[in-house]
Amino acid sequence: MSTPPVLRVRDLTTRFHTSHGTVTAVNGVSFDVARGETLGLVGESGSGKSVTAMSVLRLVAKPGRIVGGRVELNGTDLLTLNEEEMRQRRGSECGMVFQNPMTALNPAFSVGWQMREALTAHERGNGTAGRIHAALADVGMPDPERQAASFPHQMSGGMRQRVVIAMGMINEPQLLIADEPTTALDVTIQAQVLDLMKNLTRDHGTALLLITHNMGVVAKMCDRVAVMYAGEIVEEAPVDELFGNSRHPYTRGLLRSIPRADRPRQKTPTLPGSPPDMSRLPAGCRFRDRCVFADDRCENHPDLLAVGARHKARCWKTQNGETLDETALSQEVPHGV
Amino acid sequence: MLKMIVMRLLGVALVLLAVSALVFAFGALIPGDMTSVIVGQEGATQEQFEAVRQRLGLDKPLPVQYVNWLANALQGDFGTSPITGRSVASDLVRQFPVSLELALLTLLVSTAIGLPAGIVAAVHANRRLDVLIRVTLLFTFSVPIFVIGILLLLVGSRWAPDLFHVSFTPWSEDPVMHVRSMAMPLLTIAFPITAMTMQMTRASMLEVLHAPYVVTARAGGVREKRIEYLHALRNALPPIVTFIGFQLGILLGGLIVVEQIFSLPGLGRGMLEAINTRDYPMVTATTLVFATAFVIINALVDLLYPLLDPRQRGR
Amino acid sequence: MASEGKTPLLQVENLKKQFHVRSRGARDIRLLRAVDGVSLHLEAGETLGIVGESGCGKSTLARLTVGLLQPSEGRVLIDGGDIWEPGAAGRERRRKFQMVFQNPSGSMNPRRTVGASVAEPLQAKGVRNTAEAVERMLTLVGLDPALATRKPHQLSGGQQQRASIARALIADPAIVVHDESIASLDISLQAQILNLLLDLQEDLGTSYLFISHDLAAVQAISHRVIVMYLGEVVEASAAEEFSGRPLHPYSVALRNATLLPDPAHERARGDTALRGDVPSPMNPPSGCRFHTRCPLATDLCAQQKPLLRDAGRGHLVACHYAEAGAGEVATQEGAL
Repeated sequence: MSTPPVLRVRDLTTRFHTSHGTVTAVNGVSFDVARGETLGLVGESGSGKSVTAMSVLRLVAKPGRIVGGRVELNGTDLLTLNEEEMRQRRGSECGMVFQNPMTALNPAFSVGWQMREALTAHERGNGTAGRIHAALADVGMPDPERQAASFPHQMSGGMRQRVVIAMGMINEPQLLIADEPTTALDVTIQAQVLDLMKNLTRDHGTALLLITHNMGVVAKMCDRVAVMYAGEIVEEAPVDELFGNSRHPYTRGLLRSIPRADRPRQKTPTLPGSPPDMSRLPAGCRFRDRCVFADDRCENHPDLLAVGARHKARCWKTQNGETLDETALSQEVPHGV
Repeated sequence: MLKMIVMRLLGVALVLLAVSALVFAFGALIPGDMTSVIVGQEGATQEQFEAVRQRLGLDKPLPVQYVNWLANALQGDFGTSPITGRSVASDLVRQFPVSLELALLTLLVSTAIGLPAGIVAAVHANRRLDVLIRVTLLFTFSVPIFVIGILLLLVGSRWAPDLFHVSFTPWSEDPVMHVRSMAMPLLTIAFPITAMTMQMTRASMLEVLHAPYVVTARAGGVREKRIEYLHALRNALPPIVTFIGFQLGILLGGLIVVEQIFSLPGLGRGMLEAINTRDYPMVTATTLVFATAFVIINALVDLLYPLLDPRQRGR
Repeated sequence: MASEGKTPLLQVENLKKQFHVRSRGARDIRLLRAVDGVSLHLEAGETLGIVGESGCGKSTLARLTVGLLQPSEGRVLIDGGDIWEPGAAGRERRRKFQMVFQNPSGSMNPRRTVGASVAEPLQAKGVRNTAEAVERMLTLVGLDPALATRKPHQLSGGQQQRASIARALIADPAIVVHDESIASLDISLQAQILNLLLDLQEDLGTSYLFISHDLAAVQAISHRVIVMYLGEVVEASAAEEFSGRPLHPYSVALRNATLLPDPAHERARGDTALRGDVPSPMNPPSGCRFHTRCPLATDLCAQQKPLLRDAGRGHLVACHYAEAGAGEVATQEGAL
């Protein structure tokens, strides 16, 4: 409470205007990320988590447009800046790591050249070679001099993602946004990259906004979690609270439906149905159609309200202090759609 | 790298050998041969006919004729034209520089205009500047070369007679007049080629402007202009360079028309004349020159590729 | 590996597949041993899970098994008969397989209706009237039969994969090979499909070869599990035995890298990542192929290739030191 958060997002709304109509991919999203904290932004495809990440840096591609809200980075509302002021903050105050390391680096230039670009974009041209080598060494690249001279295609996926992370961190930003940083990697390489990101952000006190669909990654990496469904945050809580005492039926169902490597052959409880079509959202609670607890109240759209200390949920039932009965969730659901 | 160059040159030699065989075969398989051209269709006796065939070596089997022809060609001897009585090689030596100059100038102009125009169009995709560039250039592309040429000829001789000179003057005779005489043919053929270069550059740029690594650079705070003209362009270049090399083939066809309209004594016009007069040695020789030029240019483009794309350099 | 006396439904014997590869920019052609001496068997009504990371040869193995690729060496036998026996016998045997791919939208003809695509295997068998069977199959996989008249792009990803499964099962195949069939689905849909596969197996008795990079998914569906690394089998075991006691250091690393949705457990675990990258299958390490990344490796491992041996209870492992310290999974109580 005492120090202001590095990133404060309020009522962020991003729309896509297409010939098929308007889709509100991000609908009034609010969250904070404090210094040194890792916030997980979790959801399935189409939930709006990636668009949220891109909106923070104002990198949403056309036909997408941020239509409202505030994105305060170190106290400055990014949505009020002109294009040049925005550019100066990209990379220097906020770094970004993307999903696919195979395409995130420019194939025509050496790794060192691309890192120098990230440095000189912010007029930090002095001692660049040394800083590049140090940054590569920081992400665990053996022989940084030689690696700086090599091209992306000469590296494995894991090595490339290390380079992308080194580039994101080279200007020592206060915030790092990582959008599914390990989804394209093999699991043993994923473990390396996650360990690296965890250690790096801890050592530098960097705030980390981690976008992922993988609950295991969330469990390993995050301090707090915000769960997105159909363009909205439906639940937000510290990580242990979220996994141990989730107060939204979607989160609860999602957590139960994950197969675990430490369990033998068995049926996994499932969430019935699939996420709604974003261009034809149901009125009221957007999860209503898939929810075993839904009743009349759910025909009205619920707000995201406190259900406990530092714990918010967008659900009529838990907001009124009712509990989510596990036995209701366990009932046999036919595997139809 | 050296190994690659040697391999590539070997490939070029093989392709050229195949091309020469093909060109020769066409010449030999067309009904009627040179004898009838020399002796004339009527009034000649069978003996006269045979004598000429023997003198020209046309009585020997085709493979033997081909080997002889190739051996001579390699030494720069393409025989004597039965029509003009001159050595074919001497005509080629005279015509080649004219066509080469026109072709190279065209590539230079079309690239100098088409490439930047394409980049600007892509960066401003679907906005006013892009539409303006595309409409202007694609309009010229949709008009046949001979129409542009004749229009230019009419307009030029009427309103800017001092700027253009209509009859060809060699550089050695009068450099100023030479430039003036080449200007109009150049303009004529450069329009459609420029339009093609622009269109190709635009398409190639549009593809890379949406690549993930462009987003990475943008997220790193790299300036937009630098992303467009350096990060993206470097990746858009390889297909554009290949295409420009390829355009040479299209250009060679265009030369025939342009040289005809403007009475330029180049290879294209020479070829057309040779075809009309059934000047076989001249036709085969010119075809071979065109084919050789095309193969060599494309080999050069291939050798350029590793310079443009690091992924082609091996490990 | 097969039990004495009875012929297993599927038997794969010392299967090898080599590809001649020209890497980009390089002029020389090199040999890639994608699958290098794999043997396995599958009983009727059973699921065999095959897990491994990219480059381990699992997808090539899938294609070899169903007869989409011809092996360089070794045999694939169904009911004791070779699927590559010349003539009608081999062709007939290859028809007993069906495959479900990772990308459901790419494996269906976008211009045909879903119903027509689902009916294909039946028509290939010469069945004329397929409408009833298609309707029954779609219902069985939890789809509204009315979807039969739609085009694939009108279906969601989960629906498309259900339709692919309907197509795979309609002609009553003996074995369905799943090559990463749930990998491109959202998490909430993955569990739906896994459960569907379990139910269908119970009803129809089909055997599955379930190939995936996701150990958790493999555990959830398999009776037995095989772990592959660089074209070779490094461990094979009953699934329950394997989940409690993985023996090969690579399997242990895979288990430790497969994160659990359990924050306390993951925090306690600390850094357990395996060092280094998977070596190129074009130039595999000498001796044990895993020795370059293995925490237990000694000189012996670099020199001598460990053979697959029984470590008790039919649990096969290819490691010199499997008993000496391998098999220790970072557990709930303490981290490695």
